[in-house]
Amino acid sequence: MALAALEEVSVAFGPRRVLDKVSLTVNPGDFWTLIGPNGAGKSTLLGLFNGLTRAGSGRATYKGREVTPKTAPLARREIAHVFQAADIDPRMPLSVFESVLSGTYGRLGLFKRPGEKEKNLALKALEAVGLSGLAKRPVGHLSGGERQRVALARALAQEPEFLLLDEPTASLDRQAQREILDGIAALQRRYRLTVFMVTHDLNAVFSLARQVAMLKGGRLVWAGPVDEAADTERLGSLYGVPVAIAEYRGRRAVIF
Amino acid sequence: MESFLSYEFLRRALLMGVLGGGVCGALGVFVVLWRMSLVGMCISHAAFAGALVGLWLGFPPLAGGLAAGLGAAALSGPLAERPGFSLDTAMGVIFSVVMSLAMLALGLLPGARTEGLSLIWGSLLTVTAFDLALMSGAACTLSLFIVCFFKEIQAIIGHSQAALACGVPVRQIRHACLALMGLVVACALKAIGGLLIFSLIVTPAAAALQITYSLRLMFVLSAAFGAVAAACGLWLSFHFALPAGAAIVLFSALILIACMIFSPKRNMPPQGG
Repeated sequence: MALAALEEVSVAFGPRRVLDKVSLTVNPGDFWTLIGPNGAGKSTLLGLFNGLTRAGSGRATYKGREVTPKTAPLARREIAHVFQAADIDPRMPLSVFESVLSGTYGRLGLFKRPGEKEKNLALKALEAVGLSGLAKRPVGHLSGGERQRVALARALAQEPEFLLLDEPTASLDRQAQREILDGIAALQRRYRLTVFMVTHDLNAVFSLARQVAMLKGGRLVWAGPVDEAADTERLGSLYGVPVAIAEYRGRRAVIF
Repeated sequence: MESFLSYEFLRRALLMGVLGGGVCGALGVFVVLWRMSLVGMCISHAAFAGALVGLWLGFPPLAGGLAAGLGAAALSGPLAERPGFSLDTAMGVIFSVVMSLAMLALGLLPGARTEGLSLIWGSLLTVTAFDLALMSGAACTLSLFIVCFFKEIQAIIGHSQAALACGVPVRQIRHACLALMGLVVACALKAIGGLLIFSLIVTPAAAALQITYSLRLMFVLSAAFGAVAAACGLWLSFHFALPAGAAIVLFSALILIACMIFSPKRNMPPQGG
């Protein structure tokens, strides 16, 4: 059975149609990347899986159940969502450990305090992203790359079955991008996660993903295995610019 | 201090001030960390306008303040969540409207308008046992809310979208917090005064943020700063014949300045820097 699916989903914000009859199936263990130009509706599509975006027509399902405002809170306990790195007030009264621990709060539910189990989950998640040494540091004191690893750890502490990543390497320097992408690949293997990642980094697509979806103007223009996605005509048409693909030691790189 | 505490009405005023200051201080943590200063200002001034309109219409000011404070909370929560909505513009307009209503009601009040004027500046010295009981109830409700939902509050402060995405009921917690603000402001209005109460909400929390990285400690310090400001302001008011509300707010500003000077965070780069 599919883990999550979109069936003919359309979304409009006021008069503007952002997604137009999108259908997509995500199976357990899949690693999808969603690519497309700015304004294509990528983040909007990502939010359909956990109900952060409401479908105007069609339906989004998780484990066979339609994701509605009523069922979304339950689905969200099993679906982790990592957002783009955001600025954090350096005076924020919140430690790295507390930030990661908060990933367990949805599953824990109201009126329950985090116990040993949740604290261990947070510690293990911090270890998995290599930030154990910074657990007590105020979260606002971290660099952009470290903050993004905290966001990953928070998602892992949730013990998700499905991991949504919204441009996890946006506005990070090259080294931080590499660390985050390597971290995602390792975590996906270690925890056997199903991943759906929105990205602008086409090199990350070819080094990480097994499936690729292409979105343009709210329409899903192509979806399939990553090997077939590495097509200069397809990518050129998606972004509206000529594209070349270079290969070096078995790795593919897209040149615009 | 002995002469200050030898009067029954002053002891009651002190207790009310300490309770009101503490509650406003703790409430300020939400306002400062959730960056809802404009929303908070609108709710507190709506309660003030409601109390004056209530007085003009012949209702108890508390009833008017409660109705307007809770009404403003119910309105501003959904407004703040509308995507693409210019919240600061809307709050600016609402603020002007509620202040105009307040001034209109004050202008239409017959007679000496003493009670109406006391709602502007606050009147700790006329606090009754009922006012105290009400304030104690509001303080208990707020404390219970913070204790029961501390982890959710912490998650929302850290990253509200991530909290929502992992199943924390962000909207409900935020709306409950706004409703509490309406309730607390309405209860503290008579003692602190409509024009000054918002300063007593924001200033102690801003001071506490300067000196701690612990959210728990920030709640405690903010409440303590509010209570100390209220006690010291009242003492100054008694000895130097100053308006109590103004003395309290100015004292809380002094605490903020002291915290800024001695803050371990004073050399922090600005956000995003």
